[in-house]
Amino acid sequence: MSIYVLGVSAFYHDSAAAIVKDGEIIAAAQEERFSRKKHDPRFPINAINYCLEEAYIEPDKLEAVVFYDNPILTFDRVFKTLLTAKSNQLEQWMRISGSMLGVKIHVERYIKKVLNCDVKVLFTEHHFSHAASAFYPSPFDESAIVTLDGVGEWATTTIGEGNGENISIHKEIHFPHSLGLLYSAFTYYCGFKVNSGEYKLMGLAPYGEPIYVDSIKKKLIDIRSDGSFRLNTEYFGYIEDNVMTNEKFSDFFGGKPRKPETEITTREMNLAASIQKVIEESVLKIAGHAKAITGKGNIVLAGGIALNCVANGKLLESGIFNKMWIQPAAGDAGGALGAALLASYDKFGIKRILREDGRDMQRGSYLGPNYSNNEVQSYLEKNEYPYHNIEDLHDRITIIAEAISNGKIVGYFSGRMEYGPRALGGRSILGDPRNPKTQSRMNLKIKYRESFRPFAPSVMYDKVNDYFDIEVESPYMMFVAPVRKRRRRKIAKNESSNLGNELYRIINQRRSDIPAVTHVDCSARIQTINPNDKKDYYELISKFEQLTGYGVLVNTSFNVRGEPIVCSPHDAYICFMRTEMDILVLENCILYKEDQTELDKDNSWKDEYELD
Amino acid sequence: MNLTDEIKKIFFNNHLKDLIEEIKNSNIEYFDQNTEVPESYYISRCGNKEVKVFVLDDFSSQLRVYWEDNNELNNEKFIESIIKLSKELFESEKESEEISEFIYQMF
Amino acid sequence: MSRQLFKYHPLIGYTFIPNLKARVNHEDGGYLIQTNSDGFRCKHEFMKEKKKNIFRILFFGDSFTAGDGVSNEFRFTDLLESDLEGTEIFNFGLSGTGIDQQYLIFQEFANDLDYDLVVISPMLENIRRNVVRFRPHVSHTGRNLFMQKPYFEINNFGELELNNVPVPKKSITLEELPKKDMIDLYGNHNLLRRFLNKLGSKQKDIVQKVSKHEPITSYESSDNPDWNLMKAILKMWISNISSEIIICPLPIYHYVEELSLPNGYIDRFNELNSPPTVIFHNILTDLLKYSPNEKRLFRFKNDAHPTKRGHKAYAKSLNKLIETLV
Repeated sequence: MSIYVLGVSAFYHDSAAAIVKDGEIIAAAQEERFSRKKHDPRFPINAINYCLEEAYIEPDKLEAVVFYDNPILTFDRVFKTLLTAKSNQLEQWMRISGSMLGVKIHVERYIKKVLNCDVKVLFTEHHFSHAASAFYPSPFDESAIVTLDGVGEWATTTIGEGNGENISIHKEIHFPHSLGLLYSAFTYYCGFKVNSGEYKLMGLAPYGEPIYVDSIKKKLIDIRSDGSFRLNTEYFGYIEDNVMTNEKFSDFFGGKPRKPETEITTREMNLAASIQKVIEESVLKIAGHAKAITGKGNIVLAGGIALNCVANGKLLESGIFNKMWIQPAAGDAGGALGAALLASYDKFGIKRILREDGRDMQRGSYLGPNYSNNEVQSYLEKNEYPYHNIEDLHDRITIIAEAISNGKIVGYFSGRMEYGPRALGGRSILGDPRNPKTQSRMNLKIKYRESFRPFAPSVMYDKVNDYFDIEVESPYMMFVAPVRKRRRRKIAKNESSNLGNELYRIINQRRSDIPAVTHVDCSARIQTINPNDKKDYYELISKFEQLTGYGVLVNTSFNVRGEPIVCSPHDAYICFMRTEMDILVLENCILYKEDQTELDKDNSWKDEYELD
Repeated sequence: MNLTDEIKKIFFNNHLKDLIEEIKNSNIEYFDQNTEVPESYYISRCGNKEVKVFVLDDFSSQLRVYWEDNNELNNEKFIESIIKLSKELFESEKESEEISEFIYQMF
Repeated sequence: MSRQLFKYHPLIGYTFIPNLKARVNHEDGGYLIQTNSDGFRCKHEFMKEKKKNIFRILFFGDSFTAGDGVSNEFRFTDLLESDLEGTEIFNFGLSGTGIDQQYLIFQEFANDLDYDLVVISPMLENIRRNVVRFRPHVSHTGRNLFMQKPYFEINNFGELELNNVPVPKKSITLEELPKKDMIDLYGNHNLLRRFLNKLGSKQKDIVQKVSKHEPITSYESSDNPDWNLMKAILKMWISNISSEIIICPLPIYHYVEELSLPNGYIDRFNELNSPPTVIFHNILTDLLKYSPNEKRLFRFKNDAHPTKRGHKAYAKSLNKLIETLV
């Protein structure tokens, strides 16, 4: 009799659900993809529905539902924060009491109401969920485990290890001392949105100089040689107030926080570069300590900080560990998966079986819903959208590869949806990396934004060394690595002391022969494609290589700005029609923009999906 | 101010105001504000012996046990009033779909 | 938010999407759907030939037969198949259809099959669907739309004429409807009905019980044009069936819970009763034997479709009859 366990993360950001059968991942998805509300924190009714659909079971067949967090401990932390705040206690109480006491501690009731059955509800701790999400899907039988995020219940950083079915946590750092909160503070101060704009800060870093590292380490964070750290909470607003930084922080860095959407100055670029260096130093030291206390040759990572792929690249390069694996859904969404896996192995005694080929159990992270060609065609026919049904994979790939090589931008909807924040060829917009215009076109005509960040490349795993200086596979876009020197081009350094809006011009400069994916420091956030994970995508890139000599494509997420990545054929079609994409591929069906009738003039979605 | 907000405010005035003052005047520290600089800031866990996946009985008994174990906030009347409040708020509060742009989503 | 469940069909208007496995969110927690390659919620493929020792039964109906609200295995057709050894049941139920479309389904998908028994199980309200040109539906993105359907009319020669085929694909909004009477306005109390729906099922039941409002008047008299049309369709259908037939109309909950008196439908269907070939099975007789509390649990709290218990009750009633025929 199979043991099905459903894991749920909810109520903070990026709610998700995941289902595991006898320890094997069947499905996982973020609620935002179904609700179309970015980072949707609400109870993931739709993601749960999908997980049960994919497993094709009734709720009473579940062994248990496991929640990724201990609401008692979280309440304890929130409540004590309130009690010891120096001011604004009533305001804080008004803010937190409803959500904590009215919603979050009642999670068991939510679960039973949604499933309408008396299922066993279990709980775990936040960082155990992260640790489990990092270790169990990895290809390692044993490993050091490091988790780093904003905060769970009390823990913000943990070091532990995994052995077979067992994981344990040895060391922790507690709130309010947190690398995630530190990074979010700088995110806020540099004028980006907290909870969603952190990756922009990472992308800004290469433009600046790390001139603030010493002052940050002197005043804001004390980092010990073992990687442990303590923040000087006098500089942060998140304990007492409703913003990340306070006046003392502003005074220290010489001015108020940057207002969103205003010009990015040298100060922000240098702050971004500096905090990036601080994070990297912390991560390396923590990893070093993990090595020292566990003695393991492998390391696995999860928690929001693990989405900092520049730091991941530095850790990889350091050689502290022989091998690394990072949970692609490293943020809170991954907690759902971790909770389900932890219960399966730790509580229900499932035996952990590793793959014989040494690959991980995350299966390319294509864990979300797919739509059959029947479904796609039913949708298109019902709405009378013109399309061409190309059943033969090779024919289809040839058409798509040729189109991309001719400068077309293609929306690629194929197979199961990705789990985690990155598009990996399941729900991707693809373009030609050689073309210097690809980047600006994709930004302005597809994403409707200006961006100082390049797009990411997808490259055949066996050709990655031709393009990038990386020795391992990177199937989940979790590593940044340099573009090969021989591909780079020299550009005159910009002498201007304040780059301001120059950023957008600079990013479009040809820094290599694959300019669309090369950052200002000649790095790239790489995805390697292995045919074992996604055969059609591998073959598409291979065909593109045959045509152009380049086995790389630009891969950006299939969505307009501020919108979650598309999930269904309908989402994809609407996104296609709202943008200047040339071609849409929906499984076997190919749609050309010139054949479509314009949608009703409705720009209200631009207000709904704001810039983030 | 709606009825729910009234309930929250009344609770604050009846139960929390004095408690906050009491804690302010005591030497209770919930966050590690130790000014000494140790060699390491890590806190140790008990490692392998932990129960990692568990049932949580109702909130009231769990909170009571947790605070008793830690010898904190050990006021039966206070715990009962928090439980009563949580039941009232469950009836009136709805999940929020908003994510703050200004502060990390941690409560 | 949910998957699209239906695909266009030029004769019927739509069928389920073939080879679909989906889960639908529902007030009762959700249910699983599986369809075969013809686009019906049936675990069997509709193979023409049947095995010699198998008694094959074809079921037709609307969402009550298709099983809205419950997974495939909990429907009365699947329960019957489990209980009646040696049977194979093909479920041709299609949500939202009238008898007209159910007959067309028979013509399109079942006419050439080998079978031993046909059960026509329209929900009583289906009589109204035969006279409209558009049917309401909620798109999978949540929009309220009206989709076109095929319909029969009785011409001057008393013959049935099929119209609106191929069915136009486009669904339209209420504002785009050519004429308001092309949709079912649910009698003269549409506004009141909508108001009561908003109040909730409990309040609605109280009002129903007190008022004893008759929701369907189309069966009151054998001269009623709605009934004449339905009868004509059924007669044509019967003439095309080469086996025994059970006509088993599924009663609305008002009759089951005795919130309203069944007004005439028994007499009307008795007009078609012609044993042993055509058997009218009045399932209400068996359903009325349950206690009021049990009967209330035959439908969901807000959704009028039958629950697992409701389907069990249907299966139990039909079992007795079908057993004698197998």
